[in-house]
Amino acid sequence: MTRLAFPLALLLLVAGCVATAPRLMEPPAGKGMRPEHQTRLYETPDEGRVLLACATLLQAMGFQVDEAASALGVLSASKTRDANRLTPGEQTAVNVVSLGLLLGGYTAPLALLLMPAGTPQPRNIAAGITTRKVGQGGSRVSVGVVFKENSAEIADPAVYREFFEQLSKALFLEVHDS
Amino acid sequence: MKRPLAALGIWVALSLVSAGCAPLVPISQRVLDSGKETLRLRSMQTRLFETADREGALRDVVATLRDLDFTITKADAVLGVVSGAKPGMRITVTVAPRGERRLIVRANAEQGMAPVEEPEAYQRFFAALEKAMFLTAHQAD
Repeated sequence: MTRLAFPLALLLLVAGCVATAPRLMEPPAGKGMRPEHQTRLYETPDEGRVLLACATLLQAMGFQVDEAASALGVLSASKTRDANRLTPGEQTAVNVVSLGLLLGGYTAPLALLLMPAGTPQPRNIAAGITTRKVGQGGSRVSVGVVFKENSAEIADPAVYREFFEQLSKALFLEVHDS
Repeated sequence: MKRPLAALGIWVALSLVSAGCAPLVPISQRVLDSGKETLRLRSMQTRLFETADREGALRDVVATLRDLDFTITKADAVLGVVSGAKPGMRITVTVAPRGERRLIVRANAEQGMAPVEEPEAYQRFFAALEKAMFLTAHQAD
């Protein structure tokens, strides 16, 4: 009987996997097409120039380029930031005060209130950019961008609006510089 | 017996209230790094070079990063991007044409959870790059 238990457990595990597998490649619930605020069209046939402007803009935003395949119009970048508004120095000061309150006995609960403010909040922020020629004869370039924080997509349209505004400015400046 | 229990209750209640109470940087600022002194940062991270040889400059960037102990993690010659990493630190360098005879090189580095914003770090990088490009120019002649 005990010899049967292990294969049976394995079988149950595998059965569980099979049940979830078809869901793997489904788009997130309520999401079919890419949202409008994540794409923009640029009136230029020069896809390389647009992608380079994206790369330098991401640099200005503090990102590090992880992947660049210009032939396919792919650019991935990421950065790590502490989401805690306090500077590392201020965080240390908060921790010193918290420790003092903790040692104070009855003041210890106050230390608990303060502790989150003294703890770093690391966030991995990723940017995925794709470009593609569109229109008759490839006269325009479509730019798509997705920002993620700790693997969760950032939905705030204002972030994307600001990115595209800066990209438009960079492309405009570039055209007038050269 | 009652007092320790009450104290425990206060502890639990306060820890629940305080969970997630860390003052957070707004999401747009986290993504866009806005609110920084962008002009000052841009000027310390950027240099112009009087050459049209973009591929040569990219090779010099690769050599300089390796001299500075970085491992090259990504390089795209068409786009003009080189990325490097060493423990606790990452750097991205782009080389773009500026007009017909000049190149603009921008480098930005990250250490731990913060961007590198010390001018000296970039000065050292560009000094090493200038040296490499000067040598390369002489070798090519």
